[in-house]
Amino acid sequence: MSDILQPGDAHGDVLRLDRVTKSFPGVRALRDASFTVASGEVHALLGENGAGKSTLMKIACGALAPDAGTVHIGGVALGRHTPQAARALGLRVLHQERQIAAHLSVAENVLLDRVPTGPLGLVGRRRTERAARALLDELGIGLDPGRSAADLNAAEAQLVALARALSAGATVLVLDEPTASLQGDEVRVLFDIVRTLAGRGVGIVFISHHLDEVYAIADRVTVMRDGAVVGTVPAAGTRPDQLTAMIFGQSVDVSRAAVRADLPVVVRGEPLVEVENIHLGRTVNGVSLTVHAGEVVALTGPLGSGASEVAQLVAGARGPSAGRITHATGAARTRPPRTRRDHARCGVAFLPADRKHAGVLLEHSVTENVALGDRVTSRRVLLRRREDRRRAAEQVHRLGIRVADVRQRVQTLSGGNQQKVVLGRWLAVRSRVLVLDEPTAGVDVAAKVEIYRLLLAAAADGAAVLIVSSDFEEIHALADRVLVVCDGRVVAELPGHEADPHRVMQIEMEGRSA
Amino acid sequence: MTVSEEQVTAGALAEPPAGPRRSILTRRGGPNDLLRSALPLVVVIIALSLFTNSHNASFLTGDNIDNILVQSAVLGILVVGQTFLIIGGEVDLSVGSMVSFTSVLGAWMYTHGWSPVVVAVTLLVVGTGVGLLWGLLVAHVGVPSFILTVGGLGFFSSLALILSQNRPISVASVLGDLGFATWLGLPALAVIFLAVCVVGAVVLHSTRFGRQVFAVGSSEQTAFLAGLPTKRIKVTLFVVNGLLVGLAGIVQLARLSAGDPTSGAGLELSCIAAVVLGGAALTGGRGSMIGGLLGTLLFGVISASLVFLNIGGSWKDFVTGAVLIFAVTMAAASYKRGRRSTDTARTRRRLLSPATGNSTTRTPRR
Repeated sequence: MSDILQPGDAHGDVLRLDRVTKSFPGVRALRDASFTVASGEVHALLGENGAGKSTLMKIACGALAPDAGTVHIGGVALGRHTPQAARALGLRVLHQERQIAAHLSVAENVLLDRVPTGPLGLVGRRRTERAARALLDELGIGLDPGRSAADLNAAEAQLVALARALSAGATVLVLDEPTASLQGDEVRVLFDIVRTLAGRGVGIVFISHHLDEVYAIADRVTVMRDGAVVGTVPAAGTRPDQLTAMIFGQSVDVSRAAVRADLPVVVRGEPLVEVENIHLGRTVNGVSLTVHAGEVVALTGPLGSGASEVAQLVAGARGPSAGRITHATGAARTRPPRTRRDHARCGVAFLPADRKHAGVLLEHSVTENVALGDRVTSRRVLLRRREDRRRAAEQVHRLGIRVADVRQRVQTLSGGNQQKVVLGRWLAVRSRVLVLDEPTAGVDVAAKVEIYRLLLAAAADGAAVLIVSSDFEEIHALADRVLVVCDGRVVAELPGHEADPHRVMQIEMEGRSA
Repeated sequence: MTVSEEQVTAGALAEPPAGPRRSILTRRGGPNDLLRSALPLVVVIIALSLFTNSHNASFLTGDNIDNILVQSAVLGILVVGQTFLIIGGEVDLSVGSMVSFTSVLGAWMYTHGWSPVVVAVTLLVVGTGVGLLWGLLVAHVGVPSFILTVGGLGFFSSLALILSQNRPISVASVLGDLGFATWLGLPALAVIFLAVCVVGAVVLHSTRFGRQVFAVGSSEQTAFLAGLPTKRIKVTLFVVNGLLVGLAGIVQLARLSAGDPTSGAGLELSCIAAVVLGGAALTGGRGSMIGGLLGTLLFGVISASLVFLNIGGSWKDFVTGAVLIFAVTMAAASYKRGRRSTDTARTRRRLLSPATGNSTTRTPRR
């Protein structure tokens, strides 16, 4: 493993990008961006989606050629901008997605392109496993090299990919949101290994959206915004609000007071949703709740608490195995709403947690996505294209959706704008009950606040809003009432202004142990 | 919401930016979008027609064009149904064998003394019934349509052979000489074909149902959670397709004056190829009626050209295959290019208009 300790350049930098510029037709993706990683350093790269992080890293790893500027890896200039050239100089990238050949063993995965061969040039299983074990032990990864890669969980797969990158003698390692699919203690294991690697002189680029992780692991932090490097600061000694200010240009305040500033105080109206003792298999065990016009009610609970299922039941996406749900919206009906379609026609909107696959039609236009609500509620046979476009434009204007043209495909929008499109779909058909599951998952902070304000405004306009959220700040900022759900039951109810993150977390802990 | 609207939309675009005027070919989402994806096919069809005509000047005559339309009628009717299915995210591979079976059934009934009207109605009912069965199994039981209809393919091609005892059943003047009749100055079969196309195009592109089909094919989950009756839509797709298959059986019978148990073999593949050639995605959610019909015409022009150029029948599949590969490559390349150019054009407009320049809109391929 001595080849890991390659010297950097004169400054000790193993990766150096100098004044890199890159344009795509019509877009200046990178402007004069400089970025260095020293040997043995963990360097965090922060920025909103579209700030230029991935373009910068694509240039570093040779996937894109810069229009201007230079790339040095291990002190050597990257001549041809190809991934092979960058790899040969010792740069490895670990992507978010699982990069494991499921049908091979752990050992074969670790040594994927350099499986040791015997005297006859043949590959031996025992030899491979021995070599892989040596490497894994060195990194402190306690995985059995003989295991089938198919059985690995996300964290283990991540470690195998790490070991592979190291077996090839990496001097620079780019970790692209490595913790996205990991849980608490798995993150700790990963961080231990990252520290071991840094201790051996590997330079590490750590891309993440989580400030707490950045503080836990990074030595220096570089923030990008709008294709330019805003600055590079030491992690220790820089406050989180200073970092967010660098990321967003101004500091974004998601506190209850800030989010609700200059919105009218709403008087709670008649009850629009009444849920009586509903059950669903074993996940929901007798939940009752009421949501009034003008009110935002938040359901929260640990993973698997059943809060998400309650939202699905209220929206009619699933049918309860017992209990009753009444919506006071829509005209008097001869029979109670049963299917999701009936609910939608009664004015019940649903914004699911899996926005990409269950919320929007990615390949379709903003117009088409907004008009989907109308396709459900109206009984017209022929389309009115101009009317559809007019309504979409109205929602774009009202919700501040950032698009150039309502014909633009929703795929090209950011998460926050996609969510606004789904919201617009329901506001366009005047839904008065809004059910949202994790309304701002994967949405950047600035857009989050906008969505909060839109929801509060909708409530002020007479809608009943029911959200499911595991984001405590969000609950505190938004909710008039908070219901904590554990094991399919409501274990506590508290007014929104008392539901600060600390308090809710405590109730959840008690609920789980009870 | 009026009280807070101003704060809420602060920083949003005030009105759609007045960018430079867009050329028809770079716009997306409207009929022009269809036009762009159809363009390569039109070019190939015209080029091939001109080429054949330069060798044999009787190719581009009214009579021969009528003839091509009649020859394409069965495939064209199937393509209309299959276009709906594929855009809705499903597929029916039993259509070819169903054409064989229904035309044999019709011939058999006719020779056993049933009146042409009863025969025609029966074939439509049989087609619709089979479609309903497929639809119920796919939508309510969750059988994958691909494998289900492969089963149907085997089942009905065998049934056609059994019923006809392995020989074409010839019928002298079936269905009131429909195969030779002329309506509005065109062969009756061509008129039926074109009428089905027009109705299909209107339903797919100009009705609420048509857009629902696109939505279901694009993401069934999104469509369901938005409140669309996804199961009912899928059943409807199969039923409509079944009805069209029955009609195609009638047309086949009228055209050949016989119920031939192998006449539909391979039609399912030509049919799917035509739909995909026309710009549809096999994964659903994308496609157009005009595209599918141009695909059908391309097949028609190819087989007619082979006859006019005196190229032997053994070469037919070779040439069809080669043209198919060429056309589909062109179509794919053009789709990709078009998508890129319109997206970047939008981005450029956005960046040029100060009111809307904002980093939160993600640009493509960044």
